[in-house]
Amino acid sequence: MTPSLGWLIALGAAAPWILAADLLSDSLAPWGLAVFVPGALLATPALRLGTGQALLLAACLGFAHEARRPIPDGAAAFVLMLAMLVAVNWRGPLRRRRRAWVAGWMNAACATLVSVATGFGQGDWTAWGGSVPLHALVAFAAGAALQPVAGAMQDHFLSRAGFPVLREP
Amino acid sequence: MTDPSPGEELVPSGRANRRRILQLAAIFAGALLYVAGGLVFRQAVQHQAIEDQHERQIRHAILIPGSRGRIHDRNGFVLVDNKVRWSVTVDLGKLRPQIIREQRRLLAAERSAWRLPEAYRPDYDRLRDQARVNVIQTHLDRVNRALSTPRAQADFRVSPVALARHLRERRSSPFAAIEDLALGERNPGERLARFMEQLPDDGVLALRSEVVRDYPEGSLACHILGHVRPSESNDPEAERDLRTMLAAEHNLGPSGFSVRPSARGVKGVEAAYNRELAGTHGYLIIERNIAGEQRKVLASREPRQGAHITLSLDRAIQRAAERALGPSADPNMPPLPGSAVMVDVATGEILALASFPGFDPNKMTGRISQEDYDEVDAAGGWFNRATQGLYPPGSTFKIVTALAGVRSGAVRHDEVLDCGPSLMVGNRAFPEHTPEGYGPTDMEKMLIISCNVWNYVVGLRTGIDRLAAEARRLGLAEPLLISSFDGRPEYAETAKGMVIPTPEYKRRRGAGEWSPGDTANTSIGQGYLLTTPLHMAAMMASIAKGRTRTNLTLIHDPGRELTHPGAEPLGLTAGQRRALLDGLTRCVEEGTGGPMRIAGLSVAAKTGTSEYFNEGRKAHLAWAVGFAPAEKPRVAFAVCIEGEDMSSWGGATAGPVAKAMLEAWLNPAGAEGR
Amino acid sequence: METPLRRLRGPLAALAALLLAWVLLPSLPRLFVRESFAEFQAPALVALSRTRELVRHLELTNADRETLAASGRDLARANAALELRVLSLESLASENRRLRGMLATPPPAEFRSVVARVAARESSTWWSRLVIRRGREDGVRLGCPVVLGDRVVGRVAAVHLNTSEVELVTSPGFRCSAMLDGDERRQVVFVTGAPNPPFVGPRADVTHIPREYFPPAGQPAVVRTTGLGGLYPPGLRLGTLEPVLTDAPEGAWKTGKMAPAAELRNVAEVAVLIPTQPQPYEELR
Repeated sequence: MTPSLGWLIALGAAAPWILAADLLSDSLAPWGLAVFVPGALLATPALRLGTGQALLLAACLGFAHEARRPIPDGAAAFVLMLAMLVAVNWRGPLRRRRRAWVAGWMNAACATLVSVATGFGQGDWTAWGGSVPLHALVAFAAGAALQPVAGAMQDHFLSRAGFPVLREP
Repeated sequence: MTDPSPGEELVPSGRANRRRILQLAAIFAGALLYVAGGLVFRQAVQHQAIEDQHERQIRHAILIPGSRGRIHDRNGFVLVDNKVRWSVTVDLGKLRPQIIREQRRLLAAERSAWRLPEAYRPDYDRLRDQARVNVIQTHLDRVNRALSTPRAQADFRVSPVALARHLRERRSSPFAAIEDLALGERNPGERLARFMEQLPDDGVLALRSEVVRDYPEGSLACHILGHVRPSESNDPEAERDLRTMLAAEHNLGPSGFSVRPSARGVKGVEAAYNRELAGTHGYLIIERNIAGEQRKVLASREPRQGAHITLSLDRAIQRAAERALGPSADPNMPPLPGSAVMVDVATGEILALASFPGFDPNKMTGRISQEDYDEVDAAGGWFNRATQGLYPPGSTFKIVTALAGVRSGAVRHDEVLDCGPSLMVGNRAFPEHTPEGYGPTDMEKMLIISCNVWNYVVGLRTGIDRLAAEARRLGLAEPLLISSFDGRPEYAETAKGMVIPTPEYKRRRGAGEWSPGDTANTSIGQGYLLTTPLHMAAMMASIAKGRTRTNLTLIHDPGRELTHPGAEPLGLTAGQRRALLDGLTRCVEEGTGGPMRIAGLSVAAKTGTSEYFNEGRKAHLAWAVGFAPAEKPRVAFAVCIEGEDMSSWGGATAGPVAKAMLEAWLNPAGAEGR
Repeated sequence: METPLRRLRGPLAALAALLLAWVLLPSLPRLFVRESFAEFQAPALVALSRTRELVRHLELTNADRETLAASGRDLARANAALELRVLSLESLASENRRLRGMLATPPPAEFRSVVARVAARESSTWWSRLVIRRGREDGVRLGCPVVLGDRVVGRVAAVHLNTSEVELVTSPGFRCSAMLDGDERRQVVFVTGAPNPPFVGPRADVTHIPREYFPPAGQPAVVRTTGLGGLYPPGLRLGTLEPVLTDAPEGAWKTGKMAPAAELRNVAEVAVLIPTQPQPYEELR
């Protein structure tokens, strides 16, 4: 892995938005909804960071997410790393499509996988039916809404730090 | 596309074309009609059948047995109740990785401890068993830690025997590592609460509860109460009727039933009154979705608890009898097997019926372990000596000989017979129990000192026929504990083989012709005579009130009309009765019944020491029968103890047990307190 | 030409190997990762919550004098009433001590309470948690009960340096013993959290309700702590039992749903009860 700080810059640029999502979760708590955003914060760095750097960023985002929640150790981290791996391998399409949509989809997919991993041992399947799709929907909306601003911020900092947009590998 | 060359038709010409299309259309139309017709048929005609089938698939009935009724003693103390038993189960499947790791560790430890080579092949089965026990114990240690308070420590250990049995018989279900979480505590609340609050849910340990029969007094009156056994159905007939009714009403298939487990009485009152105790089934008819989850309840009925039964037993007297029979404070005097009965003279209600050794019915409610069963079996604890034990009554039978003698006129009650040290009958000398003999003896004196020769003489004078008739008149060979309402047995574990010998009986046994010696033997309660302590108690109750029969009962019901089938007046003159009572009373005051003396209570009793064979050795049976108070009798009793050798004597061995029962009857509070 | 899918094969295999290594890793390093990421985020959460408090404070300082005077008056009244209560409670407590001494019963578990502000709340189907601004440094220990007045909020599920996470009563994984109002035999029932779908008020399961129990007519049956398990003091309100009880498919009891007592999802300040004596649950986690 290159001793570069690109992942840290991307992480720093993501932190305020994670806090913002926490704030949103806090106000949605009375309705039993939690907002998941880390998946959306992968889309922009995937274009500018090398594979190793990108995975490091994804792992950090994942560990940070699960550290404060009763999610099985490593579940969120590995889900985000998997998503990042897919993203860096499809940089071409990622660059060409509307990034807000892509971020929304990525976030929803990650949220669903994390939900399933968390709920797996908890037995009561009746609560799953509505919850998983609903949380995925919320994650999609949050991701799509967040990407234009959060992505722009990450983009700005990374380009200022000298990380160019990479061609397709 | 190139034009087809002339003469070669790629596509059939118009007419042929149309024909083929029509054919095809006809086929399709036919097929369509078939499908549509089928659909219509299924919808219109088979509609009901399909709906039925669908209903049968999703409908399900759960039969819930009613809880069993309680059993009380005559004063309302609870002898049998139901309780929830909490057990802790271990999911062995989830422990597999831990067990494998532990097994490896054990192997490594063994190798290094004994410096064994790598090639050493140990007994893997033993290692795995050990590993299993160790791993389960680590989990139980957590439970112990969670349950322990400064006041009470918990110490649950894995039973390797129970584990082995579980693996052998019911591998697929979780293993009940702790069978009774509330062990020894009347209120399980604290243990349950600590389990829930101090122990995190790790998915391995689970709490399970079931309703079990509870015998709060332990082994008290175990033979009378009996015990229950887990059973598919507590009342198969009622359950079958309910199934048929529900299947018809709610359209249920034969597989649409599940029955919650229940328990059935297998011994004692639990078995005899199983129907009354069992209660009525309740049910839930539910509809399930495809995943088998309950969707809604279509119909339900609450189960009803069975009837409560009030026994005639008196807890205080029962306790006193069992204590007196059981182990004494002196460890050099191992307790002898024996039994004791006390009955209410007026009603025939049994106040106490004890047989030693016994068993703890609490241990028998679940799946009885072979060890527990064998332990009770080896001691002879399943056997109710009071109702099933057939013994020669010995000198206690002299009352019957005396009755037969005076009633038949063979002897007058005040007639004095000269009784020497023995009596020659035929060519055999029948002995007295003192070498010098008792000299002049009348009936009263005979009862006091239990003179044998008087009985030989009177027995021979009366004759075996009238002797046997008197014994039969007093019901010594009649079945007992038959309900006087419906003729149903109140208690099934009773003896059938009582014997009142007659010449005909001896011939039938192939023992030859009856001889006068046989009559002499019978007159002192030896020989072929066999009866039970319960019969002797019933006889004493009858004599106490001047009748011939007392229909004993185990049920206490002050409101009922009591009948005593076959009962008639004893047929004694006032003088005869006086002599009988004086003899029995003085037997306690100055004779063999000395150990039954109680200040302030006149006890009328007769002791007996009969000979029998105990595992091939001649030994003494110690008897004491009687009633009290002598003038106005209220209770009658019989005690019979199986001596190990010739060192047991009626008065000395059986007397104290009778005295303990009488004292408990006189002063129940004192007996309870002790 | 190399398709993206084929390109992905190598890195995917690497990721899978990494996952396997992670799963086989002993729990200590994994705990270390979890703890360090949690500690790293804590200051930001605390700062966020302080900012919100500041905003609220500014809001209050700008309130008009009439309102302030009115609330001051109300507070004084409440204070006077509470002072009287405290006086009577003190005499009751000494009486209680005397009686316990006479009966030689051990004193109940004693607690010291630490008041904590809520820094963040989060409720999803699979968890309902609060982050509170008290942690190891304030003496908070794992498993400590958390209450709001006489109502149970939950128990501490994770402790960090200056923050802790509280698992709410309705969160899956929560369990404790309880007693039901109107049950004369005072039998122990169990309260366990369960997954809760969104937009439905959160509920916990109440199991092992005796079959002969029926809720008192016309009023909700309150579910209270037993005080037997050593976790909570007795008599705290866990919630109210919903009137519909269903027959459990196995065993001889009923189950029901319980609505939590505190407005759990809106709570802003809680009290952590720290037992003065160490409890077994602290080491059994």
